[in-house]
Amino acid sequence: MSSEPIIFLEEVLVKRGNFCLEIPKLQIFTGERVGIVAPSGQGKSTLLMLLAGLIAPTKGRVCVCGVDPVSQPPQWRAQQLAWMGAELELATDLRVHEQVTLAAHLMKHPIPSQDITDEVLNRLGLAGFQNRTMASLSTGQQQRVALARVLLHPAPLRLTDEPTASLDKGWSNVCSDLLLGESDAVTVCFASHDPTLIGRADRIISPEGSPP
Amino acid sequence: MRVAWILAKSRWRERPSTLLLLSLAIALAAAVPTGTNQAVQREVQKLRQQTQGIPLVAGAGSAGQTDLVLAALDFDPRSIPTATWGLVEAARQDVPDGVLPMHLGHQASGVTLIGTESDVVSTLGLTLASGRWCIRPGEIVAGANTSLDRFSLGNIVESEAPQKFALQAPPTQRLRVVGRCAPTGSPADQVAWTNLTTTWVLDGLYHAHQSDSGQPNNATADRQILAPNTPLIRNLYDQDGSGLHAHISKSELPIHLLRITPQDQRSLTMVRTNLKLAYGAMTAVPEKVADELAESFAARAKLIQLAVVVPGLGVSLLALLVVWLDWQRRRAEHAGLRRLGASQWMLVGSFALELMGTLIISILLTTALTFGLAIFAARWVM
Repeated sequence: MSSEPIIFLEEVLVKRGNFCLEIPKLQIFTGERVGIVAPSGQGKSTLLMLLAGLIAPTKGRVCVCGVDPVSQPPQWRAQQLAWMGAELELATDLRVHEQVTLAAHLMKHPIPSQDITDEVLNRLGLAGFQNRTMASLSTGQQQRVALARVLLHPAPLRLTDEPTASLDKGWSNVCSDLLLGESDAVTVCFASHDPTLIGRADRIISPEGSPP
Repeated sequence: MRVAWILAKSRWRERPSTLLLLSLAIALAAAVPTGTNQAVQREVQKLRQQTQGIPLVAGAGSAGQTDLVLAALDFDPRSIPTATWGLVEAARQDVPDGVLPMHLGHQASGVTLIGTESDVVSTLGLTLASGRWCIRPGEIVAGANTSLDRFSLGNIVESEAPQKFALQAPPTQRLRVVGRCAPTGSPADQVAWTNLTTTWVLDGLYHAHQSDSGQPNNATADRQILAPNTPLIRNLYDQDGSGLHAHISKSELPIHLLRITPQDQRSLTMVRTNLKLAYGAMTAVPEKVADELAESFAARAKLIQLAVVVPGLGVSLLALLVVWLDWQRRRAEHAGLRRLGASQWMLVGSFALELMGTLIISILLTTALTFGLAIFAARWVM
């Protein structure tokens, strides 16, 4: 683990309507697997969006990969973050093999080789689904496609929101291993209620958002 | 660009029916007016070509005159020989077999000119004192009491148009005196005679419509259309009070030059109806009538447009609904792609590529539809 935090938050306040999230200080270091655990509505997703630069803090300082994420162009997200939202956000007309290599195209990196792609899809139980569109897949399969996209995205930081929400225990185990079991160069930050995934985290943080 | 291409390609691959529907809606919107207009223009052109060689001329300044024109056409639905102003001009220079455009209402040096036929001269009790009977265009025979100075054999006199008719002919004609009649003791001695074939027969008919004082007869001015085969001409000549008109059989009526210039919608309708009745087709339509007919075609073309536009509009509305639903779905999708790091320009690029494909197909469809509609509209219009 590096001594330099890849994520650093200080005196952060987020107000969105009646919701208020306060984070006095948060540091996450490179290679850490951090689980964000809290009851629904306490700000897990808000915190992830804050880290991804999708929302700006009302006040305070947010620093991700050394920069303020909100002020960065979209390409920065493609370069630094492997994002998986709770709503999966899969392009409905793309086929599975296009979905999982989309991030590489966005980063303008060489796309993963066919072997690597096939291996990831195989491990996620999606062998033979390469040419299927999202409409023909179940919710669980779609979730695994979204996860495959994250796994094939060569970004240093993975931010995932409920990555195993629609999966049974068996697939939850497999996906947890894949998401968290890679090299220490990748930092993973996830929000989840899934004990299988939470149990594999290096550290658990619990934001306490509440009405102001 | 690569992502834009992947996204655009995926739309066409997965939703071809949606995009084809859009293309069809665009194509319909463009092809209907274009195709129909092409059809109308083609028909107008065809009509103009048909009528180019037929500058049919007849003074038809009012509904009454139009009646006469129509009656004449219905009376004797022969093919109208082609005549041009060049021929008319040639006739003025005494070219044999030419046609001299002149009203029967013309006068020459104050003397009324009457058209008649050599065959019926004897029935009027006319005999020649000198010279010969007029047989060529521009020749006249003077009555016994006309001025010897002006109407001596070989003299040239200028005719004077009556200033009542809407004729497009030259207002005056050069006429040569080729004979003088012997006295009869009747009003026939006061006039000059000219061969009927040299005159404007339809204006002669109108002449018959005039009262004794030379004014148009109001009783006949607003007559409705006459039924075909009405023995109009004979009756008109018979009923003329002056007794100076020649009797001529309907089959001998020399309708050489006619110009139908209806001045109101009713006359136009009559012209159109009767031409169709008489000829069954628009093969001998004067140029101006052709223009009017072209307008009629255009009106029908609008009907065609309406008939095609209504379903086209329905398709367009359906397409708009599809677009709206698709747009709602796409907004969420674009938001997701932006979270992944897709730039706004990349998304715009994918949309532009998709639109370009839609437009290319639209253009192809428009071309095909325009061609098809032009044929369909042309047949329907005719």
